[in-house]
Amino acid sequence: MQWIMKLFNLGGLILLKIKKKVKSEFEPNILVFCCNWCSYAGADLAGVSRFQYPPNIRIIRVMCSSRVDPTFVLRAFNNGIDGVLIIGCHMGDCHYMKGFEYTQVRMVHLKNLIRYIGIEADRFQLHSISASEGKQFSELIKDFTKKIIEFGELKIPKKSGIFELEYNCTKK
Amino acid sequence: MASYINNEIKGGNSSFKILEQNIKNIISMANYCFACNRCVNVCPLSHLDIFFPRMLVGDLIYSSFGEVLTNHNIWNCLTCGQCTIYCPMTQENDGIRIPELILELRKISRNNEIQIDRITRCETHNEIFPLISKMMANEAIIPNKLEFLDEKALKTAESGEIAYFIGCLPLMEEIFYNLGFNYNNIPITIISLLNEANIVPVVLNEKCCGHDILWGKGNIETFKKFAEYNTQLYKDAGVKTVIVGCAEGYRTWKYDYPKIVDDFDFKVFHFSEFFLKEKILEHVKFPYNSKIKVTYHDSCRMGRLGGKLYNSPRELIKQIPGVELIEMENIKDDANCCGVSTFTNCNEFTHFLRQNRINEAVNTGADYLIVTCPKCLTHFNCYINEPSLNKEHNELRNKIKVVDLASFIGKLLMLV
Repeated sequence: MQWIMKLFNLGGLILLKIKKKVKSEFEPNILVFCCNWCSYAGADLAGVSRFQYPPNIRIIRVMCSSRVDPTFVLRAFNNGIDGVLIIGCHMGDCHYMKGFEYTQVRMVHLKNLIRYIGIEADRFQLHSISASEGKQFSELIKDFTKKIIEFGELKIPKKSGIFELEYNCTKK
Repeated sequence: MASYINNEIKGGNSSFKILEQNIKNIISMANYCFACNRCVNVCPLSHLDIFFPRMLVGDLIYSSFGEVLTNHNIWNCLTCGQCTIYCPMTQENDGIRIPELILELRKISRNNEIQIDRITRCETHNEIFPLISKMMANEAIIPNKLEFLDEKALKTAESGEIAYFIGCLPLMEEIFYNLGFNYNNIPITIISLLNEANIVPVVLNEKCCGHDILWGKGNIETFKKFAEYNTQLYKDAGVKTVIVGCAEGYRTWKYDYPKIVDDFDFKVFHFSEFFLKEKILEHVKFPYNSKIKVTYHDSCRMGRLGGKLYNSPRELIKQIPGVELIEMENIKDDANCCGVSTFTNCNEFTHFLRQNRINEAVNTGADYLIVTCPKCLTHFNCYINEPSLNKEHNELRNKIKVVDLASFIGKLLMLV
Protein backbone atom coordinates (compact mmCIF):
# COMPACT_ATOMS: atom_id res chain seq x y z
CA MET A 1 0.00 0.00 0.00
CA GLN A 2 2.79 2.34 0.91
CA TRP A 3 4.31 2.42 -2.53
CA ILE A 4 0.92 3.17 -4.01
CA MET A 5 0.61 6.10 -1.64
CA LYS A 6 4.08 7.24 -2.68
CA LEU A 7 3.03 7.09 -6.32
CA PHE A 8 0.00 9.22 -5.56
CA ASN A 9 2.14 11.71 -3.75
CA LEU A 10 4.56 11.91 -6.64
CA GLY A 11 1.67 12.40 -9.02
CA GLY A 12 0.45 15.24 -6.88
CA LEU A 13 3.84 16.87 -6.97
CA ILE A 14 4.05 16.61 -10.74
CA LEU A 15 0.58 18.11 -11.08
CA LEU A 16 1.59 20.99 -8.86
CA LYS A 17 4.64 21.59 -10.99
CA ILE A 18 2.54 21.65 -14.16
CA LYS A 19 0.15 24.10 -12.56
CA LYS A 20 3.05 26.34 -11.63
CA LYS A 21 4.37 26.24 -15.16
CA VAL A 22 1.01 27.28 -16.55
CA LYS A 23 0.86 30.10 -14.06
CA SER A 24 4.39 31.34 -14.61
CA GLU A 25 3.98 34.50 -16.56
CA PHE A 26 6.76 36.79 -15.50
CA GLU A 27 5.82 38.73 -12.38
CA PRO A 28 8.52 41.31 -11.73
CA ASN A 29 9.60 42.39 -8.27
CA ILE A 30 9.80 46.16 -8.15
CA LEU A 31 11.12 48.30 -5.34
CA VAL A 32 9.93 51.88 -4.92
CA PHE A 33 11.53 54.50 -2.67
CA CYS A 34 9.02 57.25 -1.85
CA CYS A 35 9.75 60.47 -0.04
CA ASN A 36 7.59 61.03 3.02
CA TRP A 37 6.27 64.49 2.14
CA CYS A 38 5.29 64.30 -1.52
CA SER A 39 5.33 60.98 -3.31
CA TYR A 40 4.30 58.79 -0.38
CA ALA A 41 1.30 61.03 0.13
CA GLY A 42 0.69 60.74 -3.62
CA ALA A 43 0.72 56.95 -3.34
CA ASP A 44 -1.65 57.25 -0.39
CA LEU A 45 -4.00 59.37 -2.46
CA ALA A 46 -3.89 56.80 -5.27
CA GLY A 47 -4.96 54.17 -2.77
CA VAL A 48 -7.69 56.27 -1.18
CA SER A 49 -9.20 57.32 -4.48
CA ARG A 50 -8.96 53.70 -5.78
CA PHE A 51 -6.79 54.19 -8.84
CA GLN A 52 -5.71 50.72 -9.90
CA TYR A 53 -2.03 49.81 -10.27
CA PRO A 54 -0.17 46.49 -10.53
CA PRO A 55 0.61 44.73 -7.24
CA ASN A 56 4.25 44.03 -8.12
CA ILE A 57 5.63 47.01 -6.24
CA ARG A 58 6.79 47.31 -2.66
CA ILE A 59 7.14 50.82 -1.28
CA ILE A 60 9.84 51.88 1.16
CA ARG A 61 9.15 55.23 2.76
CA VAL A 62 12.14 57.50 3.31
CA MET A 63 12.06 60.95 4.83
CA CYS A 64 13.68 62.50 1.78
CA SER A 65 14.63 61.00 -1.58
CA SER A 66 18.22 62.08 -0.95
CA ARG A 67 18.33 59.54 1.88
CA VAL A 68 18.59 56.82 -0.76
CA ASP A 69 22.22 55.86 -1.07
CA PRO A 70 23.40 54.53 -4.47
CA THR A 71 24.34 51.29 -2.74
CA PHE A 72 20.70 50.70 -1.71
CA VAL A 73 19.80 50.43 -5.38
CA LEU A 74 22.76 48.21 -6.20
CA ARG A 75 22.00 45.99 -3.22
CA ALA A 76 18.41 45.62 -4.40
CA PHE A 77 19.58 44.50 -7.83
CA ASN A 78 22.09 42.14 -6.25
CA ASN A 79 19.31 40.50 -4.23
CA GLY A 80 17.26 39.91 -7.37
CA ILE A 81 14.90 42.88 -7.66
CA ASP A 82 14.03 43.52 -11.30
CA GLY A 83 13.44 47.24 -11.20
CA VAL A 84 13.98 50.15 -8.83
CA LEU A 85 12.08 53.45 -8.80
CA ILE A 86 13.01 56.50 -6.78
CA ILE A 87 10.19 59.02 -6.51
CA GLY A 88 10.79 62.42 -5.00
CA CYS A 89 9.22 65.87 -5.02
CA HIS A 90 9.00 68.27 -7.93
CA MET A 91 11.91 70.66 -8.33
CA GLY A 92 11.72 73.40 -5.71
CA ASP A 93 9.02 71.65 -3.69
CA CYS A 94 11.39 69.77 -1.40
CA HIS A 95 10.52 69.86 2.28
CA TYR A 96 14.24 70.18 3.05
CA MET A 97 14.89 72.90 0.47
CA LYS A 98 17.56 71.16 -1.69
CA GLY A 99 17.08 67.44 -1.11
CA PHE A 100 15.81 66.47 -4.53
CA GLU A 101 18.60 68.38 -6.26
CA TYR A 102 21.16 66.27 -4.44
CA THR A 103 19.42 63.07 -5.50
CA GLN A 104 19.31 64.18 -9.11
CA VAL A 105 23.08 64.71 -9.22
CA ARG A 106 23.73 61.40 -7.48
CA MET A 107 21.37 59.35 -9.57
CA VAL A 108 22.67 60.55 -12.94
CA HIS A 109 26.01 59.05 -11.97
CA LEU A 110 24.36 55.94 -10.55
CA LYS A 111 22.51 55.36 -13.81
CA ASN A 112 25.80 55.42 -15.72
CA LEU A 113 27.32 53.07 -13.17
CA ILE A 114 24.49 50.57 -13.58
CA ARG A 115 24.91 50.65 -17.35
CA TYR A 116 28.67 50.10 -17.03
CA ILE A 117 28.14 47.10 -14.78
CA GLY A 118 26.00 45.53 -17.49
CA ILE A 119 22.40 46.02 -16.38
CA GLU A 120 19.88 47.87 -18.57
CA ALA A 121 19.96 51.45 -17.30
CA ASP A 122 16.17 51.87 -17.62
CA ARG A 123 15.57 49.31 -14.91
CA PHE A 124 16.34 52.17 -12.57
CA GLN A 125 14.40 55.43 -12.90
CA LEU A 126 14.01 58.68 -11.03
CA HIS A 127 10.66 60.51 -11.08
CA SER A 128 8.94 63.24 -9.18
CA ILE A 129 5.34 63.15 -7.99
CA SER A 130 3.59 65.56 -5.66
CA ALA A 131 1.09 64.79 -2.90
CA SER A 132 -1.90 65.63 -5.09
CA GLU A 133 -0.96 63.45 -8.08
CA GLY A 134 -2.57 60.10 -7.24
CA LYS A 135 -3.60 59.45 -10.82
CA GLN A 136 -0.10 60.12 -12.14
CA PHE A 137 1.35 57.75 -9.53
CA SER A 138 -0.79 54.83 -10.67
CA GLU A 139 0.00 55.53 -14.32
CA LEU A 140 3.72 55.75 -13.59
CA ILE A 141 3.66 52.38 -11.87
CA LYS A 142 1.68 50.84 -14.75
CA ASP A 143 4.17 52.13 -17.34
CA PHE A 144 7.18 51.07 -15.31
CA THR A 145 5.95 47.51 -14.73
CA LYS A 146 5.16 47.20 -18.44
CA LYS A 147 8.71 48.25 -19.24
CA ILE A 148 10.22 45.82 -16.76
CA ILE A 149 8.11 42.97 -18.16
CA GLU A 150 9.46 43.87 -21.62
CA PHE A 151 13.02 43.69 -20.30
CA GLY A 152 12.32 40.34 -18.71
CA GLU A 153 13.89 38.82 -15.67
CA LEU A 154 17.18 40.24 -14.37
CA LYS A 155 20.08 37.92 -15.08
CA ILE A 156 21.28 37.95 -11.50
CA PRO A 157 20.10 34.79 -9.72
CA LYS A 158 17.28 35.47 -7.28
CA LYS A 159 17.37 34.72 -3.61
CA SER A 160 14.27 32.88 -2.42
CA GLY A 161 11.71 35.06 -0.72
CA ILE A 162 13.33 38.41 -1.36
CA PHE A 163 10.65 40.37 0.38
CA GLU A 164 10.88 38.21 3.47
CA LEU A 165 14.62 38.76 3.65
CA GLU A 166 14.25 41.98 5.59
CA TYR A 167 12.26 40.30 8.36
CA ASN A 168 15.00 37.70 8.84
CA CYS A 169 17.56 40.46 9.17
CA THR A 170 15.59 42.27 11.85
CA LYS A 171 15.02 39.07 13.84
CA LYS A 172 18.76 38.61 14.27
CA MET B 1 42.37 24.77 15.53
CA ALA B 2 40.45 21.55 15.07
CA SER B 3 37.28 23.11 16.39
CA TYR B 4 37.74 25.98 14.00
CA ILE B 5 37.92 23.67 11.00
CA ASN B 6 34.85 21.79 12.22
CA ASN B 7 32.90 25.03 12.34
CA GLU B 8 33.74 25.63 8.73
CA ILE B 9 32.46 22.20 7.70
CA LYS B 10 29.20 22.63 9.60
CA GLY B 11 28.65 25.89 7.76
CA GLY B 12 28.31 23.91 4.55
CA ASN B 13 31.51 25.06 2.86
CA SER B 14 32.87 22.49 0.48
CA SER B 15 36.28 24.14 0.46
CA PHE B 16 37.79 21.91 3.12
CA LYS B 17 40.74 20.85 0.99
CA ILE B 18 41.66 24.42 0.24
CA LEU B 19 41.31 25.25 3.91
CA GLU B 20 43.68 22.52 5.00
CA GLN B 21 46.27 23.63 2.49
CA ASN B 22 45.88 27.26 3.55
CA ILE B 23 46.44 26.37 7.19
CA LYS B 24 49.55 24.41 6.29
CA ASN B 25 50.83 27.41 4.33
CA ILE B 26 50.20 29.75 7.22
CA ILE B 27 51.93 27.63 9.83
CA SER B 28 54.89 26.85 7.61
CA MET B 29 55.29 30.57 6.96
CA ALA B 30 54.94 31.48 10.63
CA ASN B 31 57.61 28.99 11.66
CA TYR B 32 60.25 31.03 9.86
CA CYS B 33 59.88 33.94 12.30
CA PHE B 34 63.00 35.02 14.19
CA ALA B 35 61.04 37.21 16.61
CA CYS B 36 63.49 40.03 15.91
CA ASN B 37 60.72 42.66 16.08
CA ARG B 38 61.93 44.53 13.00
CA CYS B 39 58.50 44.38 11.36
CA VAL B 40 56.89 46.08 14.35
CA ASN B 41 59.45 48.89 14.17
CA VAL B 42 58.59 49.51 10.53
CA CYS B 43 54.85 48.86 10.41
CA PRO B 44 52.95 52.17 10.12
CA LEU B 45 50.05 50.74 12.12
CA SER B 46 52.17 49.55 15.06
CA HIS B 47 53.08 53.18 15.75
CA LEU B 48 49.36 53.86 16.09
CA ASP B 49 48.87 50.87 18.43
CA ILE B 50 46.46 49.00 16.15
CA PHE B 51 48.34 46.08 14.71
CA PHE B 52 51.52 44.21 15.61
CA PRO B 53 52.78 41.76 12.99
CA ARG B 54 55.29 39.93 15.19
CA MET B 55 52.76 39.30 17.96
CA LEU B 56 50.37 37.84 15.40
CA VAL B 57 53.03 35.51 14.02
CA GLY B 58 54.13 34.52 17.52
CA ASP B 59 50.58 33.67 18.51
CA LEU B 60 50.15 31.63 15.33
CA ILE B 61 52.97 29.39 16.48
CA TYR B 62 52.11 29.08 20.16
CA SER B 63 48.32 29.29 20.45
CA SER B 64 45.22 28.06 18.62
CA PHE B 65 43.76 29.57 15.50
CA GLY B 66 40.56 30.66 17.21
CA GLU B 67 42.48 32.60 19.85
CA VAL B 68 44.66 34.27 17.25
CA LEU B 69 41.69 35.44 15.25
CA THR B 70 39.86 36.81 18.28
CA ASN B 71 42.92 38.57 19.77
CA HIS B 72 44.23 40.13 16.56
CA ASN B 73 42.18 42.10 14.08
CA ILE B 74 43.63 40.89 10.79
CA TRP B 75 41.35 43.23 8.83
CA ASN B 76 43.30 46.23 10.12
CA CYS B 77 46.47 45.33 8.22
CA LEU B 78 47.10 47.54 5.19
CA THR B 79 49.10 44.82 3.39
CA CYS B 80 51.50 47.58 2.36
CA GLY B 81 54.51 45.27 2.63
CA GLN B 82 56.81 47.61 4.58
CA CYS B 83 57.63 44.67 6.87
CA THR B 84 58.79 42.47 4.01
CA ILE B 85 61.66 44.83 3.25
CA TYR B 86 63.25 44.67 6.69
CA CYS B 87 62.33 41.10 7.67
CA PRO B 88 65.48 38.96 7.50
CA MET B 89 63.41 35.87 6.70
CA THR B 90 61.65 37.24 3.61
CA GLN B 91 62.67 35.75 0.31
CA GLU B 92 60.96 35.72 -3.03
CA ASN B 93 59.28 32.33 -2.93
CA ASP B 94 60.22 31.16 0.51
CA GLY B 95 60.25 32.40 4.08
CA ILE B 96 57.67 34.56 5.80
CA ARG B 97 55.88 37.23 3.81
CA ILE B 98 53.41 38.95 6.10
CA PRO B 99 51.03 40.43 3.45
CA GLU B 100 50.53 36.97 1.97
CA LEU B 101 50.16 35.46 5.44
CA ILE B 102 47.41 37.97 6.14
CA LEU B 103 45.81 37.15 2.80
CA GLU B 104 45.76 33.43 3.65
CA LEU B 105 44.26 34.21 7.06
CA ARG B 106 41.58 36.34 5.42
CA LYS B 107 40.74 33.59 2.94
CA ILE B 108 40.12 31.17 5.79
CA SER B 109 38.30 33.38 8.23
CA ARG B 110 35.94 35.39 6.06
CA ASN B 111 32.98 33.11 6.83
CA ASN B 112 33.61 33.06 10.57
CA GLU B 113 30.87 34.79 12.56
CA ILE B 114 33.18 36.87 14.73
CA GLN B 115 35.10 38.01 11.69
CA ILE B 116 32.00 39.02 9.70
CA ASP B 117 31.28 41.63 12.34
CA ARG B 118 34.79 43.00 12.01
CA ILE B 119 34.64 43.03 8.21
CA THR B 120 31.46 45.10 8.21
CA ARG B 121 33.03 47.48 10.69
CA CYS B 122 35.94 48.32 8.38
CA GLU B 123 33.75 48.81 5.31
CA THR B 124 33.88 52.13 3.48
CA HIS B 125 31.65 53.79 0.87
CA ASN B 126 28.73 51.61 2.02
CA GLU B 127 30.28 48.47 0.53
CA ILE B 128 29.87 49.76 -3.01
CA PHE B 129 32.99 48.08 -4.40
CA PRO B 130 32.37 44.57 -3.08
CA LEU B 131 28.77 44.92 -4.23
CA ILE B 132 29.81 45.82 -7.76
CA SER B 133 32.23 42.93 -7.96
CA LYS B 134 29.62 40.52 -6.57
CA MET B 135 27.21 41.62 -9.30
CA MET B 136 29.88 41.42 -12.00
CA ALA B 137 30.85 37.91 -10.93
CA ASN B 138 27.56 36.57 -12.34
CA GLU B 139 28.19 34.79 -15.61
CA ALA B 140 25.21 36.31 -17.41
CA ILE B 141 26.29 39.90 -16.80
CA ILE B 142 28.63 41.40 -19.37
CA PRO B 143 29.97 44.85 -18.53
CA ASN B 144 29.53 47.69 -20.95
CA LYS B 145 31.93 50.44 -19.98
CA LEU B 146 33.64 51.63 -23.14
CA GLU B 147 31.14 54.36 -23.99
CA PHE B 148 33.52 57.18 -23.13
CA LEU B 149 35.86 56.10 -25.93
CA ASP B 150 33.24 56.80 -28.60
CA GLU B 151 33.50 60.56 -28.17
CA LYS B 152 37.23 60.63 -28.89
CA ALA B 153 38.62 59.54 -32.24
CA LEU B 154 40.71 56.67 -30.89
CA LYS B 155 41.67 53.53 -32.75
CA THR B 156 40.96 50.33 -30.88
CA ALA B 157 40.77 46.79 -32.16
CA GLU B 158 38.80 43.72 -31.14
CA SER B 159 41.56 41.26 -31.84
CA GLY B 160 45.31 41.58 -32.01
CA GLU B 161 48.52 40.93 -30.12
CA ILE B 162 48.69 43.90 -27.76
CA ALA B 163 45.87 44.63 -25.34
CA TYR B 164 45.28 47.48 -22.92
CA PHE B 165 43.48 46.60 -19.68
CA ILE B 166 41.30 49.51 -18.55
CA GLY B 167 39.98 47.97 -15.37
CA CYS B 168 37.56 49.80 -13.12
CA LEU B 169 38.52 53.38 -14.05
CA PRO B 170 35.19 54.27 -15.78
CA LEU B 171 33.33 52.94 -12.73
CA MET B 172 35.46 55.02 -10.38
CA GLU B 173 34.73 58.07 -12.52
CA GLU B 174 31.03 57.70 -11.69
CA ILE B 175 31.53 56.86 -8.01
CA PHE B 176 33.99 59.65 -7.14
CA TYR B 177 32.45 62.34 -9.33
CA ASN B 178 32.80 64.95 -6.56
CA LEU B 179 36.59 64.70 -6.12
CA GLY B 180 37.29 66.85 -9.16
CA PHE B 181 39.50 64.33 -10.93
CA ASN B 182 38.68 62.79 -14.30
CA TYR B 183 39.66 59.12 -14.18
CA ASN B 184 38.82 58.54 -17.84
CA ASN B 185 41.76 60.78 -18.80
CA ILE B 186 44.11 57.91 -17.94
CA PRO B 187 42.90 55.39 -20.57
CA ILE B 188 42.35 58.14 -23.15
CA THR B 189 45.97 59.36 -22.98
CA ILE B 190 47.43 55.87 -22.94
CA ILE B 191 45.42 54.74 -25.97
CA SER B 192 46.08 57.91 -27.93
CA LEU B 193 49.84 57.75 -27.24
CA LEU B 194 49.85 54.11 -28.35
CA ASN B 195 48.01 55.16 -31.50
CA GLU B 196 50.67 57.74 -32.25
CA ALA B 197 53.27 54.97 -32.27
CA ASN B 198 51.09 53.06 -34.75
CA ILE B 199 49.96 50.52 -32.19
CA VAL B 200 46.26 49.73 -32.18
CA PRO B 201 45.55 48.15 -28.79
CA VAL B 202 42.84 45.61 -28.14
CA VAL B 203 40.31 47.15 -25.76
CA LEU B 204 37.56 44.85 -24.57
CA ASN B 205 34.74 44.89 -22.06
CA GLU B 206 36.61 42.99 -19.38
CA LYS B 207 35.42 42.52 -15.81
CA CYS B 208 37.15 43.77 -12.64
CA CYS B 209 40.64 42.42 -12.09
CA GLY B 210 39.41 41.20 -8.68
CA HIS B 211 42.17 42.76 -6.60
CA ASP B 212 39.87 44.33 -4.03
CA ILE B 213 37.71 41.31 -3.43
CA LEU B 214 40.80 39.16 -2.95
CA TRP B 215 42.90 41.37 -0.67
CA GLY B 216 40.12 43.21 1.11
CA LYS B 217 37.67 40.35 1.58
CA GLY B 218 39.72 37.20 1.02
CA ASN B 219 37.06 36.00 -1.39
CA ILE B 220 39.04 33.59 -3.53
CA GLU B 221 36.07 32.11 -5.41
CA THR B 222 34.89 35.31 -7.07
CA PHE B 223 38.50 36.26 -7.73
CA LYS B 224 38.94 32.98 -9.58
CA LYS B 225 35.84 33.71 -11.67
CA PHE B 226 37.23 37.12 -12.68
CA ALA B 227 40.65 35.69 -13.48
CA GLU B 228 39.24 32.93 -15.67
CA TYR B 229 36.84 35.28 -17.48
CA ASN B 230 39.47 37.92 -18.25
CA THR B 231 42.17 35.53 -19.40
CA GLN B 232 39.69 33.60 -21.55
CA LEU B 233 38.50 36.87 -23.11
CA TYR B 234 42.05 37.83 -24.06
CA LYS B 235 42.90 34.34 -25.28
CA ASP B 236 39.94 34.42 -27.65
CA ALA B 237 41.12 37.77 -29.01
CA GLY B 238 44.59 36.37 -29.66
CA VAL B 239 46.34 38.65 -27.19
CA LYS B 240 49.95 38.00 -26.19
CA THR B 241 51.03 41.11 -24.28
CA VAL B 242 48.86 42.99 -21.80
CA ILE B 243 49.48 46.63 -20.90
CA VAL B 244 48.04 47.67 -17.54
CA GLY B 245 47.53 51.28 -16.55
CA CYS B 246 47.23 50.97 -12.78
CA ALA B 247 49.41 49.56 -10.04
CA GLU B 248 46.91 47.12 -8.59
CA GLY B 249 45.91 45.69 -11.94
CA TYR B 250 49.60 45.25 -12.71
CA ARG B 251 50.18 43.29 -9.53
CA THR B 252 47.16 41.02 -10.04
CA TRP B 253 47.90 40.36 -13.70
CA LYS B 254 51.56 39.68 -13.17
CA TYR B 255 51.65 37.79 -9.88
CA ASP B 256 48.17 36.63 -8.84
CA TYR B 257 46.64 35.41 -12.11
CA PRO B 258 49.46 32.96 -13.01
CA LYS B 259 48.93 31.22 -9.65
CA ILE B 260 45.23 30.64 -10.31
CA VAL B 261 44.81 30.29 -14.07
CA ASP B 262 46.24 27.06 -15.48
CA ASP B 263 47.87 28.01 -18.78
CA PHE B 264 48.75 31.64 -18.36
CA ASP B 265 51.09 32.85 -21.08
CA PHE B 266 50.72 36.62 -21.34
CA LYS B 267 53.52 39.13 -21.05
CA VAL B 268 52.38 41.81 -18.62
CA PHE B 269 53.73 45.37 -18.73
CA HIS B 270 52.95 48.46 -16.78
CA PHE B 271 52.34 51.24 -19.25
CA SER B 272 55.49 53.09 -18.16
CA GLU B 273 57.56 49.99 -18.83
CA PHE B 274 55.98 49.56 -22.25
CA PHE B 275 56.43 53.21 -23.19
CA LEU B 276 60.13 53.04 -22.35
CA LYS B 277 60.54 49.78 -24.24
CA GLU B 278 58.87 51.10 -27.40
CA LYS B 279 60.40 54.61 -26.98
CA ILE B 280 57.03 56.23 -27.43
CA LEU B 281 57.63 59.50 -25.59
CA GLU B 282 60.92 60.15 -27.38
CA HIS B 283 59.11 60.67 -30.68
CA VAL B 284 56.45 62.91 -29.22
CA LYS B 285 56.93 66.68 -29.33
CA PHE B 286 55.68 68.56 -26.29
CA PRO B 287 54.04 71.87 -27.23
CA TYR B 288 55.89 74.02 -24.68
CA ASN B 289 58.68 73.67 -22.14
CA SER B 290 57.21 74.98 -18.92
CA LYS B 291 59.20 74.44 -15.76
CA ILE B 292 57.27 72.22 -13.37
CA LYS B 293 58.46 70.74 -10.11
CA VAL B 294 57.19 67.25 -9.44
CA THR B 295 57.50 64.48 -6.85
CA TYR B 296 56.65 60.84 -7.26
CA HIS B 297 54.90 58.56 -4.78
CA ASP B 298 55.72 54.84 -4.96
CA SER B 299 52.65 52.71 -4.47
CA CYS B 300 52.96 49.42 -2.65
CA ARG B 301 51.40 47.29 -5.37
CA MET B 302 53.96 48.41 -7.96
CA GLY B 303 56.89 48.56 -5.56
CA ARG B 304 57.26 46.22 -2.67
CA LEU B 305 54.53 43.79 -3.74
CA GLY B 306 54.83 44.20 -7.50
CA GLY B 307 58.36 43.34 -8.51
CA LYS B 308 59.95 46.63 -7.36
CA LEU B 309 59.09 48.66 -10.42
CA TYR B 310 60.67 51.91 -9.23
CA ASN B 311 62.75 53.16 -12.12
CA SER B 312 60.47 53.06 -15.15
CA PRO B 313 57.94 55.72 -14.00
CA ARG B 314 60.82 57.96 -12.90
CA GLU B 315 62.56 57.62 -16.24
CA LEU B 316 59.28 58.36 -18.00
CA ILE B 317 58.94 61.55 -15.95
CA LYS B 318 62.51 62.54 -16.82
CA GLN B 319 61.73 62.19 -20.53
CA ILE B 320 59.22 65.05 -20.31
CA PRO B 321 61.08 68.30 -21.13
CA GLY B 322 61.06 70.99 -18.46
CA VAL B 323 59.87 68.73 -15.67
CA GLU B 324 62.09 68.51 -12.61
CA LEU B 325 61.71 65.48 -10.33
CA ILE B 326 62.36 66.17 -6.64
CA GLU B 327 62.44 63.11 -4.43
CA MET B 328 60.69 62.90 -1.08
CA GLU B 329 62.34 61.75 2.16
CA ASN B 330 61.10 58.18 2.01
CA ILE B 331 61.17 56.66 -1.45
CA LYS B 332 61.30 53.32 -3.20
CA ASP B 333 61.47 50.50 -0.61
CA ASP B 334 60.86 52.87 2.30
CA ALA B 335 57.99 54.77 0.70
CA ASN B 336 55.22 55.42 3.18
CA CYS B 337 51.79 53.97 2.56
CA CYS B 338 48.96 56.19 1.35
CA GLY B 339 46.94 54.88 4.27
CA VAL B 340 44.10 52.91 2.77
CA SER B 341 44.23 49.79 0.69
CA THR B 342 41.40 48.02 -1.13
CA PHE B 343 38.87 50.62 0.03
CA THR B 344 38.71 49.30 3.58
CA ASN B 345 39.50 50.95 6.90
CA CYS B 346 39.08 54.64 6.25
CA ASN B 347 39.32 56.12 9.75
CA GLU B 348 41.26 58.65 11.79
CA PHE B 349 44.35 56.44 11.92
CA THR B 350 44.64 56.12 8.17
CA HIS B 351 43.81 59.80 7.95
CA PHE B 352 46.97 60.41 9.97
CA LEU B 353 49.04 58.29 7.55
CA ARG B 354 47.75 60.28 4.58
CA GLN B 355 48.56 63.50 6.40
CA ASN B 356 52.14 62.32 6.90
CA ARG B 357 52.65 61.49 3.27
CA ILE B 358 51.10 64.69 1.94
CA ASN B 359 53.22 66.77 4.32
CA GLU B 360 56.32 65.01 3.01
CA ALA B 361 55.29 65.91 -0.51
CA VAL B 362 54.58 69.52 0.39
CA ASN B 363 57.98 69.87 2.08
CA THR B 364 59.76 69.14 -1.20
CA GLY B 365 58.29 72.31 -2.66
CA ALA B 366 56.83 70.54 -5.67
CA ASP B 367 53.66 71.65 -7.46
CA TYR B 368 52.45 68.20 -8.39
CA LEU B 369 52.44 64.86 -6.62
CA ILE B 370 52.46 62.13 -9.25
CA VAL B 371 51.05 58.71 -8.43
CA THR B 372 50.43 55.63 -10.54
CA CYS B 373 47.77 53.95 -8.43
CA PRO B 374 44.12 55.10 -8.74
CA LYS B 375 43.56 54.39 -5.05
CA CYS B 376 46.43 56.57 -3.88
CA LEU B 377 44.96 59.17 -6.22
CA THR B 378 41.49 59.06 -4.65
CA HIS B 379 42.74 58.98 -1.09
CA PHE B 380 45.15 61.87 -1.47
CA ASN B 381 42.61 63.92 -3.40
CA CYS B 382 39.98 63.14 -0.77
CA TYR B 383 42.34 64.30 1.98
CA ILE B 384 43.26 67.50 0.18
CA ASN B 385 39.69 68.48 -0.71
CA GLU B 386 38.35 67.70 2.76
CA PRO B 387 36.72 70.69 4.44
CA SER B 388 38.20 71.32 7.88
CA LEU B 389 38.51 73.97 10.56
CA ASN B 390 42.28 73.97 10.29
CA LYS B 391 43.56 76.82 8.11
CA GLU B 392 46.74 75.04 7.04
CA HIS B 393 44.74 72.07 5.88
CA ASN B 394 42.54 74.26 3.75
CA GLU B 395 45.57 75.83 2.08
CA LEU B 396 46.86 72.43 0.94
CA ARG B 397 44.65 72.70 -2.14
CA ASN B 398 46.72 75.61 -3.44
CA LYS B 399 50.06 74.12 -2.46
CA ILE B 400 49.99 70.76 -4.19
CA LYS B 401 47.94 68.87 -6.74
CA VAL B 402 47.70 65.10 -6.92
CA VAL B 403 47.64 63.69 -10.44
CA ASP B 404 48.09 60.40 -12.18
CA LEU B 405 51.21 59.92 -14.32
CA ALA B 406 49.27 59.17 -17.52
CA SER B 407 46.80 62.02 -17.16
CA PHE B 408 49.69 64.39 -16.29
CA ILE B 409 51.36 63.55 -19.60
CA GLY B 410 48.00 63.85 -21.35
CA LYS B 411 47.40 67.32 -19.95
CA LEU B 412 50.86 68.49 -21.08
CA LEU B 413 50.26 67.13 -24.58
CA MET B 414 46.74 68.62 -24.69
CA LEU B 415 45.26 65.18 -25.32
CA VAL B 416 42.56 65.55 -22.69
